[in-house]
Amino acid sequence: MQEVSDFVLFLGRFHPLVVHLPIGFLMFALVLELVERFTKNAALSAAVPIALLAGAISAALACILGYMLSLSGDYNEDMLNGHFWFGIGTTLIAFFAWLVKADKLSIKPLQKAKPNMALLTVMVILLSVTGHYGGNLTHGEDYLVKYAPFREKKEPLPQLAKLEDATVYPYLIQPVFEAKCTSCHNDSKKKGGLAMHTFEELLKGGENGPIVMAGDLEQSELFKRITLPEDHEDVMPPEGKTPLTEEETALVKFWIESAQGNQETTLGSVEVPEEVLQIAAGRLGFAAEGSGGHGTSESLPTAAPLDVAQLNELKTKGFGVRELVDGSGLLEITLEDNSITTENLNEWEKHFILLAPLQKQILWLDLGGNTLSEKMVQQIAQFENLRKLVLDNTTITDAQVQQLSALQQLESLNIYNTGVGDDVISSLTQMPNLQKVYMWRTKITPEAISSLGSESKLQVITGT
Amino acid sequence: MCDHHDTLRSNNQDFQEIEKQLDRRHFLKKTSLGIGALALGSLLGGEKAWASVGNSGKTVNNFTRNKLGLPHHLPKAKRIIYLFQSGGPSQLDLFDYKPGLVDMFGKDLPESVIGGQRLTGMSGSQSTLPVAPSIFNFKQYGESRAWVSELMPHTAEIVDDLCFVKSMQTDQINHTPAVTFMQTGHQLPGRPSIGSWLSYGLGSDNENLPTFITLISKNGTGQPLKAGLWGNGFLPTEHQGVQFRSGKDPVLYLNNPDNYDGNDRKKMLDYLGKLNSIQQDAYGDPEIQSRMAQYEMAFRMQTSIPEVTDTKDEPEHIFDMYGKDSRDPGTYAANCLMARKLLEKGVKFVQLYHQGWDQHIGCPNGVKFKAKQTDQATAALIKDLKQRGMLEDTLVVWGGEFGRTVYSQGQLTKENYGRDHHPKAFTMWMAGAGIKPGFTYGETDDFSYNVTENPVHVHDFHATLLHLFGVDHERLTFKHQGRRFRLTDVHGHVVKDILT
Repeated sequence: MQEVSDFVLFLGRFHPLVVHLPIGFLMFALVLELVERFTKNAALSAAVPIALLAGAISAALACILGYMLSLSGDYNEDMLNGHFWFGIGTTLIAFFAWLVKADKLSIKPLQKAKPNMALLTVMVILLSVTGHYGGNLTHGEDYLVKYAPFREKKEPLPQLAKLEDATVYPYLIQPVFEAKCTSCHNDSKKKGGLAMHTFEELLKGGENGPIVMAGDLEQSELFKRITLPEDHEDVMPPEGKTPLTEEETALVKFWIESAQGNQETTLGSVEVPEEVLQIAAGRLGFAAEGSGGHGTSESLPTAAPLDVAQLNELKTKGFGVRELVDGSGLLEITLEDNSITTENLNEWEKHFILLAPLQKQILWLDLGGNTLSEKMVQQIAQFENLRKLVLDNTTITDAQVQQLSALQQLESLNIYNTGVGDDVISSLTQMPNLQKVYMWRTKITPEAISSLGSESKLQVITGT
Repeated sequence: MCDHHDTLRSNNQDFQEIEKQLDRRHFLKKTSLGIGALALGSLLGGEKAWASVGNSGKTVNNFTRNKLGLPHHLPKAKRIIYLFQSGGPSQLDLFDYKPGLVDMFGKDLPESVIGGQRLTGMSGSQSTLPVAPSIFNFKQYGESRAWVSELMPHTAEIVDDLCFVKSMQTDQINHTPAVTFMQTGHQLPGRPSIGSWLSYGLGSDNENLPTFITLISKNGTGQPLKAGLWGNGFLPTEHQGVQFRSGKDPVLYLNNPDNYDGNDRKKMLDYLGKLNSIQQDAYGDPEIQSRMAQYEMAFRMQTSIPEVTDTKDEPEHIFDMYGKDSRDPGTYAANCLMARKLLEKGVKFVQLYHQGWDQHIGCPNGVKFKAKQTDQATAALIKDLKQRGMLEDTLVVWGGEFGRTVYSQGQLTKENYGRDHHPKAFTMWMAGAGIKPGFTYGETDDFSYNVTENPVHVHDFHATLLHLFGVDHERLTFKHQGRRFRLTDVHGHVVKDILT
């Protein structure tokens, strides 16, 4: 490719500025023409040729500058061609329309067919098409309709069961590129000859060759560019665009350095620094805690995304609903004290059925201060991922606690100020994860607690 | 007299004239920041989606994904009570036992220990810095064998529920910047306080009560406290802490004055709300929304506050546990009891302050007095929360803004000494939600002067606190004056070793 002088490119960059002049002038010519026709105000007619001439001249200028800009080679050739020819077409028609309107040119056979109106209409259509192509070139093809209603959304990546299953590129890296890079490096706008919207294109690299060298940060142009000081001429994203965050940079670094810069590597198959693990966990909706000082990363159950309509219904019945980790679908359900009484028990049993579809998603449940029926307790016993259950000041009985022993994930149970007694101890020992039981103001005896033995990790808190 | 009609009288000409008088600030705001205000408006709208219903404070609703993307991870804590011991309690006389000091009595503190540190103007000019061992006896308590001095007999009973951090460090050596730093993460006033950040990030659990409440022991002496310590800084105003009065009526004017039945108050407030909406439409200033929210909150507080602040229904044994002060409204003990009630009702953050821990002179008597005022109620609060199962997800924090020096400020005698401010090492404790119980973290040298193991900076404390609420301290930010601010500024590490 021949070298293009900087000055030509400098002028070329005025194209997006100048291009708005013909759009305005030519559109206005059509408006004037229309208003003239409807109001019969002949004075307006005199202005039409001026608008057309100004539009035509500025369009010609825009064409020249546009051509200069196209020499940079940053744009998709197919789309550029369309824009190029439509632009020239618009310019020519604009001149033609001026000639006709200003009576410099008169084509007899056409006179009857109201040539002005027809010409102007064709011109504005061409103008719109040109403008649309131009917009696509600058902003990318899906810019215009990205937020349009009823547009099909991109298929989301499948939910992950474990953090280790996450493939690094699609789950962690591509979203970063999409957020920070692809608006300038895509199919239609390839700044520096680089497109990053697909992995294949990314591998091809830009006009200076590949940008990712697996395992070698120093040779990877991509990493070099995103880590340059922000006032450096070559820094990416360039001045004025949002730079990558520290977290995003750390992910890219990890991907190139340890995950071999490919599409297939999963988090489980390579050694992952703790920092990256935490970032990944946070982004993919896994609990970021648990790593480092206190054991291995605690994995949360996966849950279906929340159905807002369903939860709103729960809310109208009086349940409190809170998502415990943003985007995880895992829930805390609460209920006011004294919501359920012996009088409205039947009604509430019906409300409880609404919880059934959520039985794997409820991690914390607080029904303290309420009357509970057999059916309700049976249902609670189905909440297989329940970790924290608060049933203080309820009607819970020893037999009902026995049913709850099915809760294998339960870590904390609060049954203070209830009628339970020593019989609960055997039920409690059936819950392998149970660590704390709050039993102040119950009939439990110190003997029953000591029967747990000193080995038991189960802590029974009976208060003062 | 003007008569009340349903049509708004703001539509008259005078009113419109006033509205036209945009000042420069408003003009700039409306024109250049109009878009920003729109964005902020939608942010506030997003928060609205979490508004809760009901009044027991348990019912929380925030399943509509909020723009902040919170919580970042599974929280351990749902609420917090911060027992701020203002003035700088002497770690040497309470928890950081240094038996070796007895042999050093009266000797000049070696320069190798001070390490060139700049001292305050109050003791920096002393000709000697005589080592002052604590006159109090220490013993080990509980299964965790934690050292506690004889001044804190009740705290000694609950050490197995506490996690002592003996290696706290701050950057500030004077009260105002140090307290401000501890409460807002910055030594200069103007940043949002911890409670405001949590309110902003996590929303409310009970729309009838403020999310963030400040209680101050009455008759406080010593360094003053100021509202900026529980201020919202640049966050929307509804996130500021609401200070209750220390006394019989924590919030004034809740009751109707004589001969007024209050029946038309709702109407008046609705009318005021309409006026405010007109302002809101005209100016788009989110602070107007804040104000409207606060009027509505105040109205709801008329019924919710008497219910929650009235301790009449508490049984005798609870008062006995908190100590006899707990019957005297506005004392530390009464505030601890009220704090428990507030937490039960869904208040997320209760910030208690107890002033007067600033023993420059007469340290032994001073510390003894302060310990007596606070020890029993502090321990009772922990026990009370525990027996109700609330300690499971309530974080309790005890601590001041800095520690005190091992050397005596002023004259040292066998019975008396003073202690100056000391930022380089002090003791705090935490308990409850997600904190390792019966644990001691960090160590100081033989003089409780320098941290020798596991330093915990104020920023680290903040990072850890947010972590317990499911918040990544690096990701809860607010853009203000062109930069994204966070509680921990550009610092802070979660202290994982003290987490369960």
